[in-house]
Amino acid sequence: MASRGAVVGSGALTRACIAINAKLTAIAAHLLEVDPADLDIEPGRVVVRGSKDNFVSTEQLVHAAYFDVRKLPDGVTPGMTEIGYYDPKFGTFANATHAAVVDVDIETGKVVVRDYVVIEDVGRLLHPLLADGQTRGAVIQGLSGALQERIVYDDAGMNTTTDLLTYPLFSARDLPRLHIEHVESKSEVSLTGVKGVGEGGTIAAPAAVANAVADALRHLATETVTSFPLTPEVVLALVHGTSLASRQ
Amino acid sequence: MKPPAFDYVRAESLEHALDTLGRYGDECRILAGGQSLIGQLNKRVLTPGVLLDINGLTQLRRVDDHGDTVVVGALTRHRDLEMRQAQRRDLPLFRRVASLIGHPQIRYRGTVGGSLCHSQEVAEWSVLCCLLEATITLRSATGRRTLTADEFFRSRFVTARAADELLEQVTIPTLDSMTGWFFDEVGHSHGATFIAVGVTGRLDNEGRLASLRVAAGGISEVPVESVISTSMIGESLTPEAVEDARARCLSEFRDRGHDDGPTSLDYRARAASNLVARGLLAIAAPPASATEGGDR
Repeated sequence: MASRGAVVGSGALTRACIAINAKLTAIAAHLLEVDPADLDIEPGRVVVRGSKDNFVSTEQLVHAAYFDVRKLPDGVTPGMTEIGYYDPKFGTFANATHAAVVDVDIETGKVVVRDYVVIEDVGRLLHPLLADGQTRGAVIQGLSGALQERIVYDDAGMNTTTDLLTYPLFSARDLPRLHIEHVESKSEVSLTGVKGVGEGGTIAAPAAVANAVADALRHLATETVTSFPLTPEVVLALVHGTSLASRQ
Repeated sequence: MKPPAFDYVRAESLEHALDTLGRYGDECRILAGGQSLIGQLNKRVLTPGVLLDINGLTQLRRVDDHGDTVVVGALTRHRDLEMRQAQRRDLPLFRRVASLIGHPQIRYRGTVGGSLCHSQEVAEWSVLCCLLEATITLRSATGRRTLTADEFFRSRFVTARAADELLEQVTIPTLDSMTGWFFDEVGHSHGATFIAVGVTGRLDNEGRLASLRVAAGGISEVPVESVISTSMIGESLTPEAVEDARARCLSEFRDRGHDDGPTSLDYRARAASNLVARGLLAIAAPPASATEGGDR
């Protein structure tokens, strides 16, 4: 299931904004002496439909709500704060397709990711730049996990991977060219059509790299990729058919 | 964490540094580039009473070309050799070796002498010293002595340097114009290096090996020179000979190696012997391609 930050957050925010809009419209209708149904909300103001010069600014409406409550219609409470709640009945799923090009050195086991494409369907795209950034970060986490990261305990149960020297993370020089595209197909189960973005990158990247390595070794290895991380040692063991899996 | 409290002495001259070392001995640690020392202090693996900062001794930061040797001062930064511009046949090898160390920030601060004294079995300069039969000069207030790499490196983090001695310089014999070289390593792109391998060799007019040196780091507690350095002399580098060398190195590295650290000896022996084979093929190829190592 996808990240709930954007899915739940944008739903709750939308509901709160709907309530704020209703309040702005109610106050504007009272001040302009028109029916609320004849009003349109535009950026920075509320206008009478078909009469562009007949409007009140948002600033005037908020001022009335906080500092001049005599201008408020009966039944409208002071202040301009609304709370929205949202919890989707069903989780959303962010979909992504990843493709990786890797070099596998079959004499040292080193895997280098040369090229990488990810197409994300995040539902409604709220902020393209942030979505790209989140995708990039998520893919890098996925690649790092697939190729390098692991926690190692010694025989006494002591964690021996406690710093960046012993627990190597991907750094800038490990990064492949990363091509990111988006497809927008709005979710039918979330209020805003948002599906979430974070997990698409992290979850799919290891599979893409594993498949690329498996493909590279197809003609050589007697075994295929079944575990992470694909460290040089693991890859060389696959090449020579001496991995742990084959010994069992 | 922060380092434990220590007294700080900034060396004003070589004599001052040697006097300080003579006075404090084991209590004293030498601060050069600090790329290993500071981390060890912060983790409190080391708790020296005195830190002797030699960064002011600029006379130790030098690379002198004597024709048949290059003398590299202890305080020479890795970056100095990586960026050095000079007409020397072996300079591309030094550049290559320096470029494999850590990342640029480390290479700007870290020093050749510091790396050698730290004595990690897979450290690039350590492997290079073993490969090129470099000699290491130690100075104390009472004298000077010069050791081979074999004599200097004792085990991981242990060298023949006495507590009152300062590593002054490394003397590296020059490669002749007919000698090809190869140097490569395997590891994560920053941090842990698993193995490092260097090969130099010269073919005679009949295409037989007139000289050969094969050194590997990450196999044993110190860099090891392979027995094929002598046993292959006179052989031609045919595909069969290279395969034979690969098998001989694999067996030798397995026998001589230690099984310790994040990767198994079996992996390190296999990857290192494969790099040796790659190195032999590189020196068998025309000189232009013999000056390239593989990509990491």
